[in-house]
Amino acid sequence: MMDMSDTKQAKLPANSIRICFRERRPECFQGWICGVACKDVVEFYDAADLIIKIDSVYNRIGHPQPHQILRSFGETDEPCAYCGQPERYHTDEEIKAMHGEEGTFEMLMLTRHSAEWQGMLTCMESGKRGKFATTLECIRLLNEGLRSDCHG
Amino acid sequence: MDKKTRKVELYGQTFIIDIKGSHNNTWQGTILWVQKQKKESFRSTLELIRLLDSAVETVKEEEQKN
Repeated sequence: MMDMSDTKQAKLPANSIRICFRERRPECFQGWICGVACKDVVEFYDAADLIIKIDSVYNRIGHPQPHQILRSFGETDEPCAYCGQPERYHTDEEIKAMHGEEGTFEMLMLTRHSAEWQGMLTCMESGKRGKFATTLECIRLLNEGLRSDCHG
Repeated sequence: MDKKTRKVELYGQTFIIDIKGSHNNTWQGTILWVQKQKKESFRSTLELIRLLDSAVETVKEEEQKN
C-alpha cells in the first residue's frame, strides 16, 4: 500500500493560467488572468481582449511556444522564444486562492499549432472539463459549454 | 456584400473581412483596412483578432505622436 504521507501534490504547471470572471454575460465579459508564471494580474474587458491578453501572457511565459508568427498591421512581432522552465513568480497557494465572482476557470495550454490554441479548461466550481482546439472553441467553452454547472 | 464578407467599424476605422474558409474549426480569409488601404490574409480567428488589435494599436500610437 502506498504511504500517502510521501505523496507529493502535483504543482501547478507553468503553462496553466486562471481566468477569473467578474462578469460573464454575452454583453459583458470581464475579469482577470493570473498564473504561477504570469508575473502580474492581467485585466480583460471583453472576449476579444481576453484572447489577446491570454496570447500575450503565453508569449511572455514562452511555453508552449507558438508555431507561427502572427501577422500584424503594425511592426512584425519578434519570434517568441521558447522557455523550457519558465520562472515562477507566485506560489500555487496564491493562485489557487484567486476566484472570480462569476466563475473561475483553469486553462492548461498544451500547444499553439496552426496560429491557434489547443488545451483544456476546467471549471473550478463544478470540476467540469473541456478540450479546445481553437480560440473559438475556447470562448464557446467559457461562455456556454461549461456554464451550466458553474456559478453565473 | 457577400454573406461571408463583413464590414467592421472599430476605433473609428473600417475593416472589410472576407471569410474564405473555415478549416479546422477556425476562419481563414482576408482583411482590408479601408483607411490605410492595407490588406492581409489571416489563417485563424486568433490571427484575425491580432490583426484588428494591431490596427487599433497603430492608430492609438499615431494619435499620441500628433
